Amino acid sequence: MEARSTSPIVEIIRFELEKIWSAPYVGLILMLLIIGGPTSSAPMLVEGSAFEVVLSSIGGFKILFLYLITILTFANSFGRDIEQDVLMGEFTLPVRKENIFVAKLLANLSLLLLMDLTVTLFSIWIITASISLASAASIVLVDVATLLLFIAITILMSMVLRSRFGAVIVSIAVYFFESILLDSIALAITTTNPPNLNPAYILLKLVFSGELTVFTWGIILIHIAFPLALLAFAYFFFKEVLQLD
Amino acid sequence: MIVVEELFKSFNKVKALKSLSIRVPNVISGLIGPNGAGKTTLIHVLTGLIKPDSGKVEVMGLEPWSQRYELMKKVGVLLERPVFPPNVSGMRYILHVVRVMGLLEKEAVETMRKVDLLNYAERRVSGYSAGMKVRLGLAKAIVGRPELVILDEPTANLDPSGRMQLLKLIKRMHREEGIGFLISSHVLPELQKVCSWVCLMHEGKAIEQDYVENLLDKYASTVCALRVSKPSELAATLRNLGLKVKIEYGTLYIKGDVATIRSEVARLISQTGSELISFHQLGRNLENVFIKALKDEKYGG
Repeated sequence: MEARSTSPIVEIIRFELEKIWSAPYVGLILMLLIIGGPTSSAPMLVEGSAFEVVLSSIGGFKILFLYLITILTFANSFGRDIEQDVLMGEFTLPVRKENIFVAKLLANLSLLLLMDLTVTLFSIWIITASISLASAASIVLVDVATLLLFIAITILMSMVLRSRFGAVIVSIAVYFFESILLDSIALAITTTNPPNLNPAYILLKLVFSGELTVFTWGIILIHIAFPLALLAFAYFFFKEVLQLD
Repeated sequence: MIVVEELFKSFNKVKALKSLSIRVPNVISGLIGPNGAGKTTLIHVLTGLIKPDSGKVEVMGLEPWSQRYELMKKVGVLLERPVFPPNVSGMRYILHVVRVMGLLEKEAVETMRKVDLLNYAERRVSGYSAGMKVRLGLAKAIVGRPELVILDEPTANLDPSGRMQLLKLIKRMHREEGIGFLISSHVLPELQKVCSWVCLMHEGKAIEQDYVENLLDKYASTVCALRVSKPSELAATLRNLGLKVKIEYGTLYIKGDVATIRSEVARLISQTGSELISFHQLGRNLENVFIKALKDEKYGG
């Protein structure tokens, strides 16, 4: 009777994407992102160079909105209060726990990437009247690097705190804590012209010019190395510790 | 076949399972007990969703927590509150299960037919009734043709006709495909209708376990209630045989060895030409078994 044509992990990713795509609020989110991206970038057009214009599209409304979508999506997928019953359903199928974890992570991440890429391309087209796939890909890459910390925190907190709400609150708290910390550093190092210490800005500078400073290393550590370690721990927790009662 | 020995499981200070030991045969079996007896915790342990604190657990020869993946190929599960993605159709959901299990896609159609959902296969799950959702959960549980299906309170949200339908389906699948079932419920009359074996649970322990007929024989009352067309004549004859007989509102209550009462009543009815309206042994039901077993447990018999 066995007739495997696709691997379980591919099927789970496909099904996760279908579930998210068929949710009634997806259209609204896309609409807000599409409108919000160019709108938040428009003021920069007056005085900025093309590079600054592209930079601006990663800041403001879009990144904040993307950040909120990200933590809500991942909290919803891994959260343990209401979604525990969903996880129970998945755990009662002959699928390895590690495959469920990876499939959920990849499905949600790829959907966010796709959404971000579409919106970024649209923003660039509106602002510069041309489409630059390389610039858009760079921005998406930076967005992911920036969001990775919050993705990892949300996933881990969803499981450890047994609450989607708790995971979202912790993630938001970390977001504000980081903003305050970076603003304080910016003020401390110069009073006349504080450098933009936005993690996305620093990482994008690295992507475009390969400029490595102490802040770049700090941001890489906090936004890439630390989240990867957290994700590894979350994976272990999901596979070996998580109990659904 | 399920083997559980000296199983303990606690949640913080609450001891959900206390030295539980059971051996469940691969028939239609029931887990009986009031809310809080530990039925759901036991099912979660048996399906590898939670890790026991101590004790031995074996389901179809596998240890659930460490061999959950292998176990789920042999065992189908329907949990107490099955949750399905609301925006996909019932058929798409079962197709997902089929693909994840690496089965032929025609299995999805066949399974939907078995649970009588084929006509609603393309409807979104959000539009399913409670009974249809339970049947969809059952479809998910049986789709890989498992050796055993574990059902946690499957009839809890169903109306009487939905319950009857589900119980019939379970009986049919056991008869036709030889699938063993373990059903947890606190609705005892319906379990009595389908189960051959039951375990009575109370406060995390198994207070009694055996085949239903054996338990009924053990705990049923020694009084039989009889309605016949000529009760006074029959009562007098039975008293002459040394049996204790009482008549209330035309019903004869006879106390004694049930087998003797049966044979004597059958003989006397044919002799006296009386007509038998009804005959039953009092307390021959699982509710009585549970109450008496619980009393024995509390007061040591």
